[in-house]
Amino acid sequence: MDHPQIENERILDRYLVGQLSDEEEALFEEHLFACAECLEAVRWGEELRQGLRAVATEDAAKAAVAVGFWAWLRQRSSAQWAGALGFGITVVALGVVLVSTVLRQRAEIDHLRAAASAPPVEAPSGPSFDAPLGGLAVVALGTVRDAGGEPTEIRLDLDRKALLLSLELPTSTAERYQVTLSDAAGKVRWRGDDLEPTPYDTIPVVLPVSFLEPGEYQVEVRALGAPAEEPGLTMTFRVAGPP
Amino acid sequence: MTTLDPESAADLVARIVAGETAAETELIERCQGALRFLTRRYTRSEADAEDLYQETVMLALEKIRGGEVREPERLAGFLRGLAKNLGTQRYRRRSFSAETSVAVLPEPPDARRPDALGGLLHHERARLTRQILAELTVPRDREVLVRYYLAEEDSTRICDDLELTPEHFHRVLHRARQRYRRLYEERAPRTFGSVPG
Repeated sequence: MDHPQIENERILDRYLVGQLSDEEEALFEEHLFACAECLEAVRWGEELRQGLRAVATEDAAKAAVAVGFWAWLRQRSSAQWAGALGFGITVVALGVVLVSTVLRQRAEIDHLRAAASAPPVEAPSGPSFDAPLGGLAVVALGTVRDAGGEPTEIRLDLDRKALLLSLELPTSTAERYQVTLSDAAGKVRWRGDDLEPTPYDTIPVVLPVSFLEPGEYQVEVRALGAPAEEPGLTMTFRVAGPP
Repeated sequence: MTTLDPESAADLVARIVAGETAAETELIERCQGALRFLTRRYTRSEADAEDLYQETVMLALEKIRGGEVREPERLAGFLRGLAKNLGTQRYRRRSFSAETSVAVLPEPPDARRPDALGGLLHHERARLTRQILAELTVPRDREVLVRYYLAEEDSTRICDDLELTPEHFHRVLHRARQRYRRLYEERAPRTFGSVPG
């Protein structure tokens, strides 16, 4: 084999990609013992091919890692599939619960923060009042205790937001009561209709502290549906201002 | 680089048969370039190639001393044929051994990492090749090199896609290989800096 033949028949390029016949290959390889130029050329060609193969095998290895998990799944049995599916569902469900819990707690925190930073609730000027209350002060008022004596004095702390008046009934003959709160001038400040007594024969009435200015107050309790001759109950108390 | 032309081959055979030790050394110097390249090509492994090279040289000298080379001027063909046959025998022995022993032999203890150095060199070769391919300024060079030498696509198909005549394709491939080699010689570390082989 000589150089014109190698050049004309593209022996070198065909040799590198294995496209020579056995006879051509044997003759060309025999030629390499005698030709430094061709030997140099095939060495570089082989180095080039090895470099390209190295790149290809590395890329293939990376791709194999990516699809390896799915290949692993494909090879699993039905029971293993079911187990993997159950595990996956459990993980997803736990994730959903966790996320929803976090979101709900975050919403509650935001709500509490908004409530804490909001201005205090203005006391209603009318007799009806049903705003939410907190910082409750509890005072029991009884007809027996207050009869013929000094009215109960209530000193409200500034940090109290509401006052719970527990109106004690001597007897609980009625199922519904009407409670009227009047100030010293006789002006009705609040009235509650259709109030139900507790099992302990008391009627709880909650009033905002800001609703009670210092002074005397009178509470009248009248049983609804009772005979007209049955007298109502009257209780008095006095609100002292802050020290 | 010294080579082994037909005239010098016949002379070397005669001197070796005559018992001249220096002729054996000269034979090895003249043939080792091509013979190492061929054993590397036949085995696809550096370690196996070295073993095959040593085995070929030893058997060749033994046969030359014994006067078994019938056409001394075709010593190159004799050496090439010897290496090819020995390489084929090694491959068959290895295949037979793998078929018969796989069921009884335990797995090699380090089968997952058979050759750490080889892996490192492989990675370095890939890195260098990526760099050179990226630096090739003619995009067609990359396409031609990858399609012909890696994908081993038929040259006719590449010619059709790139609208090249076969003669033009041959020149394009040659120039791409030359540009790749220039960049290789500039970028390659010492490990790959010299002509491989």
